[in-house]
Amino acid sequence: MSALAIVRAELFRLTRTRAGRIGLVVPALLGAGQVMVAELVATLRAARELAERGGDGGAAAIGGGAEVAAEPAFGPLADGLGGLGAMALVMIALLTGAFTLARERDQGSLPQWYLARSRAAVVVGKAAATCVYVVLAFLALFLATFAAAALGHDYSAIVEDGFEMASAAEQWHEVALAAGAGLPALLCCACFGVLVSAATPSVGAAAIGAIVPFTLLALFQSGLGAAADRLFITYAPFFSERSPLARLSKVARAFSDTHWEAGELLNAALVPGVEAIACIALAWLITRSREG
Amino acid sequence: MGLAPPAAAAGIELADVAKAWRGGAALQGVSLAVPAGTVVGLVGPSGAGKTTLMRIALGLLEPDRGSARVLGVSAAAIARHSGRVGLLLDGAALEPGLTVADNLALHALRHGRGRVDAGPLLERLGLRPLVGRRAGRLSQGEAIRVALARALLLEPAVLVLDEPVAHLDPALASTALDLCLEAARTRGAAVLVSSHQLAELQRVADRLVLLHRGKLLLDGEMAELLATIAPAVRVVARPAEAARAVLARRPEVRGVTVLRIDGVEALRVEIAAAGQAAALNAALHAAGVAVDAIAPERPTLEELFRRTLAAAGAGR
Repeated sequence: MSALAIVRAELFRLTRTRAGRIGLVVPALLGAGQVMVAELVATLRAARELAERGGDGGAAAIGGGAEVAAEPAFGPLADGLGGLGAMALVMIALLTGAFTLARERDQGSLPQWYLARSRAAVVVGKAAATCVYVVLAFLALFLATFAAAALGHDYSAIVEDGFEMASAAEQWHEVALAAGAGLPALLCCACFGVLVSAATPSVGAAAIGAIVPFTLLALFQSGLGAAADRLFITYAPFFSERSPLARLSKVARAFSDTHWEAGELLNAALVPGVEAIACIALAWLITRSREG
Repeated sequence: MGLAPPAAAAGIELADVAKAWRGGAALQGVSLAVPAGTVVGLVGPSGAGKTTLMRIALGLLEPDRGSARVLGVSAAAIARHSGRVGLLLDGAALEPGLTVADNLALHALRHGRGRVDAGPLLERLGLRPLVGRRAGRLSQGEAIRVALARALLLEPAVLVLDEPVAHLDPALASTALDLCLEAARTRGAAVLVSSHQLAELQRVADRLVLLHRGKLLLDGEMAELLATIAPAVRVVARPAEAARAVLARRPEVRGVTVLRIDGVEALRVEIAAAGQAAALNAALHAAGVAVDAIAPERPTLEELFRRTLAAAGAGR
């Protein structure tokens, strides 16, 4: 396919620039950092509580720490995947998408792409490369969070009063479900950015055009009523409790009142998936009719 | 749309191309061809429509009227010739976060090529020491050289270069245009190059196109166009006023213009036919005028440019 060369070139560009590399590691650092800080806070709190009970001495405090660590790593892993790192990843997806065409237009290099492949191939190729970049950043976030959670916990079954609430395999399954259903919303953020990039005159306008409407809709999502169900923003891990990645935090801890609703994960995957394709199609239509 | 290129297709063909902006017409019925193996110099005052013409030739702009073809196919389908068209437009347009080497690698990847050996080009353009430097940290002249290397990297069959020697010192400007000339001579590339450095352009261009206010004022072989300038003799004599009076009376003299070059007053004497410098020298001596220098003047593109625009009422 002719867009493949564009995908390769765009990925080369994204991974060779300093900004591109920073974008890959920032969500991972934030995700891992969040897990480690939470771990530290929990350990300190447990130690203080033990100290306040008094009389048990240092050994008991250490025992208290062990009590905190008894929670399986899946909970902290889910916190990292759906927390600050994921929010940063949403912003990075939006901005990377928003810069794809607008930045080239600003620096005068867009004709270099149009001479290489058709406009459709350029739009599709750049959007696909941005999606691959987001997936790479998500993988980095996953690996960093996985490692950070493993520092103080084991990836083991949830056991309460000797009863196994959820095996490790079951929890891995939940993580995989959440990641699979949550990723399309992240990819749609990138594609929405590409659409804005095609429609705006400059990098600044593209950045504002991508972030401001997205943030406003995300913040006031509850006011959208049923329409929110049809909006990819609802499923993005950005101030949204309906994002599979954000919800994973409770699901992975096997809380009795938390489980995936019927069709919830399918919706979370399908709605952003369809809207991502629509964004790319619109971006292509705009680019085709735009001179330059 | 998408026709197979004919056997001897010109690199670039524009037929009756017109384009208007809100401020007025940018191009008015322009037709031109850039044949394979030819360097065509595109000149004109700023705002003449040179860049618009180039953008239409590359399919980046759609003309209001007329057609543009590249290597035999519609310019709108130029991507079919991926890697066969080299471009320098809108300045260097490099990726500022990438190094010089990576910028060239990105260009090759965009066109579906692997790593291409840019060594000889980098050497010629004096870019060897800069390969590891980020493009955002290059000077304007360095960036233009990298952009030129990028345009030439894949050995394209068509080269469209807008101001490729801007910001270059004379030696590098000469080298840059030599590379364009070599592309035309050795690989049969069709080269369309615009520049305000007329002396350099005169040296390399086979054909000349002069554009003014969106219209073609000149289009022809460089040598033929230069031959239309009346022969002239440059005279430095004392006293200059006396020399001017003597020369003005001579029947073979068509006109005398006073020039001031590096603080020295000189006369530019247009004559009816070449080879009359000796006769003029003798006449000046006979009138008691001291002649410091007298030499036939080579017709220049600058003179042609100036005269053509003056005749068109451009006043510049």
